Amino acid sequence: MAHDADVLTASGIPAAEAERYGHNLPLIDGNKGYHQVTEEVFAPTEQRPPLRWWLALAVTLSMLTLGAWAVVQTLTRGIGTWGLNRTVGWAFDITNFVFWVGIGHAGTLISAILFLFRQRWRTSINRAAEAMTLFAVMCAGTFPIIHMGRPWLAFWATPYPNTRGSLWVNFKSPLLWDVVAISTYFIISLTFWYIGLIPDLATQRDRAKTKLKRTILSIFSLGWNGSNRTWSRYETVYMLLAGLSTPLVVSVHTIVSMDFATSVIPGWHATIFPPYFVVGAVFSGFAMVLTLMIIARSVMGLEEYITTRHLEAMTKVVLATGMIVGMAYATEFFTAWYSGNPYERYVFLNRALGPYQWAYWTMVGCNVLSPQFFWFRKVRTTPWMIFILTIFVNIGMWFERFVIIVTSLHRDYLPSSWAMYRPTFIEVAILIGSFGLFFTLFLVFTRVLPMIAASEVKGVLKHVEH
Amino acid sequence: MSQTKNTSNLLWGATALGALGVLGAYAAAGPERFWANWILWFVLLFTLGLGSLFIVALEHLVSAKWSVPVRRIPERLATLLIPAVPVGLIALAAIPVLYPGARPEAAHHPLLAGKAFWLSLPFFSARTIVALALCLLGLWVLVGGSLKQDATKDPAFNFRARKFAPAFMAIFALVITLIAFDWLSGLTPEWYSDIFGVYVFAGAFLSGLATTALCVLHLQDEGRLEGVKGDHLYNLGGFLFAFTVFWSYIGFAQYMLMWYANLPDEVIWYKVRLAGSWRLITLALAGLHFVLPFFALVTRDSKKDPRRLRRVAFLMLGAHVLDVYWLIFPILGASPRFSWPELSFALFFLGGILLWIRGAMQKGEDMPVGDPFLREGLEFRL
Repeated sequence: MAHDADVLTASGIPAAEAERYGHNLPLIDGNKGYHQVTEEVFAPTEQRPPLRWWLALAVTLSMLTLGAWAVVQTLTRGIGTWGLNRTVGWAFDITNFVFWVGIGHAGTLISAILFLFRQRWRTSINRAAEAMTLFAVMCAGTFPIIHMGRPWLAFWATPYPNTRGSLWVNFKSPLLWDVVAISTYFIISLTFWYIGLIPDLATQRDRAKTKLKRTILSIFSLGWNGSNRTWSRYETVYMLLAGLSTPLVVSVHTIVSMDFATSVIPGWHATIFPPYFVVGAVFSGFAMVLTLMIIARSVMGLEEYITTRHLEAMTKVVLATGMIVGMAYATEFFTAWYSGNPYERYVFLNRALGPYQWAYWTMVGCNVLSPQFFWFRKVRTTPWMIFILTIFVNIGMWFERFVIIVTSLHRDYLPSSWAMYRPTFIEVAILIGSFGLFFTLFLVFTRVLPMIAASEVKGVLKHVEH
Repeated sequence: MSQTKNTSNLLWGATALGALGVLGAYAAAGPERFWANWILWFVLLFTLGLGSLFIVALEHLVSAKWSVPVRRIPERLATLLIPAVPVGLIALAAIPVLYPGARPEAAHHPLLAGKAFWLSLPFFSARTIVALALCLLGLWVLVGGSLKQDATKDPAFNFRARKFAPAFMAIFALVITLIAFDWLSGLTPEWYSDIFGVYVFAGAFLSGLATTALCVLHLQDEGRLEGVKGDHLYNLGGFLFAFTVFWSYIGFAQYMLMWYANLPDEVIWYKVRLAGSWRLITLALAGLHFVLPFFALVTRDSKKDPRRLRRVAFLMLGAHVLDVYWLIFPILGASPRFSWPELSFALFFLGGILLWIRGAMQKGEDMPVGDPFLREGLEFRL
């Protein structure tokens, strides 16, 4: 398989330069053997967590506690504790909801779409990215449920014959489609993640020291024995699930976008919303994966598994999707002008020059300008620079949803009802709490399950490729 | 050999006959119908050429190896952008006839006055000329460079193409959006949809893919492209499948959101297309552009089977022609026009395009023999 490099070398191109001509370098550094991969990947799940892990957990649990307190405040005192008013009825929590659903797009995209495209660099990052997907969808789900005001009645959102008279859900409402899309996405992503885990769970089972651990892992590894037949069936199931998950990755944010786009509110009703939301979700999801992976690889010493080549590939996805998001902003602006509709035109001018212009320009700066640095190879391969830029992208994508939601609502068709929206401390605390939940779950995950898909990484080791 | 000559004569004959019909159409069917046909074929020619160039650029952008052995085919198809230039320049004469925004009365139209400058003949023409020039630039760098590499075997081209591909993608996005907004949605300038450029992109990419697949299969029949296997066909089929679904997704998103919101300035565009005989064509489009190819390509084997792939590729091309027809022809009236003028145009342009492709298929080697990754591409297995 190393032919191309030989051809390049014969043409006088040094091996170190070959990559710039399109040659693929090995994915895993350090010339590792199978056993070494097993030892290194499973070590964190078998040792006592270090002090800094406990410190990090203390911080994230404090954030989570703050959020829980704010949720209790909301539920006991009512939605009035939020900054919503009659004009701006959706604001902070729906922003958070869309933000978290977006973050939840990278994992299944990496594991399903990149799998179908046979992108083998996905192997080092898919496990952790899928876990992040699940945690992000959990965070996302809490917001609409809290917003219901009476979350104990959340099950009313499911359509089933009931004893509440003829009280059915409204099938024409995109909010109901959301319930269906997100719960389906969560279930399939969970299944996909779990199926991918089975071979590694079996390894963990075989290495378990205590009887309790072995028993639990035996149950979850479903009697995996590593035979050819088992592997063959496993791979068929994995591929079918990848095929099934692919439309789901697209459908979830498409339907989230329809929460807005099916309305007739200027700035919301845009036909480009479905693909634009999906690309934006991938953009934010990859940025979050990068942010977290850069911390994880350095803290856990996984630099030889999640190499700068993985980081570079992901930054290219961030750059490409960032460019598409920028194109969508430009198209929206252009169409608002081209439509000749005074309300459309006003909403977009108001976004850029009105009282929320700071939010708009934060969004443009973070989402359109900051990814441009990724044109430079030096930036794409320097972890701390990627870290900073992806934080900007995370901020920018949060503001994108804030801008879309709040600026379209706060000045509607009737100037007498124009109003401003400002979040209360309770709302900010709930957002902090959701980050607390996300990071807590991620921290626990890194200690309980192998963060890297050892069985898949073994398939892309250097000596296997030859 | 004589068979080749016969085919060639047949194509020249068809083109000449078509040319007569095209001239007759101008005299007998009136300028509106003549120019509607002209724009139909300009858009078809342009989307095929640019869609093919997009395939080439995509390979360089992502450093794909599997497609190196078949890359010469879309490269040759992309040269259709050269005849697209004169066809596009002649099409500029259609602007005052078919495009209400370019007429003087647009300046007093309540909906068009604000964008009259954008829609005016000079600015419209300038945008088209810039778009065509940008396409030629892409063609020169990506295809010209690759043809030269056959002789020089210099890998520096791979380096340059990798550097140029991202810039080309930005150019591509701009050009396809401009052409879509100007030439297609500009026919009804009161109507607007910001997804429209993406919709036309999906069609362009599909037409490039389908023609590439057909040419690969044809050259294989001739015993050329040795080493291209079912695995390569599978990937072409996979892309066709994926982008059939993508086209449907975009088309559905536009329709559904307009239908749901039911705003007069938006639904009017669909109202025309869902009335009378146009309704049948709309339904046929959904069937031929989505349902049929979806089920034809969903299984694994169908993507590897040359016979099925050929049929589906033909179907996709036909559906693409129908799609562009469906975008343009409703401006001519409530009943779809299809008789001898349309047939003449089809003869003329199809004959010409096929003649061009036949000539292009002799250009350079059948595979990019100077590309260092050709061997890896030939070794590609699923």
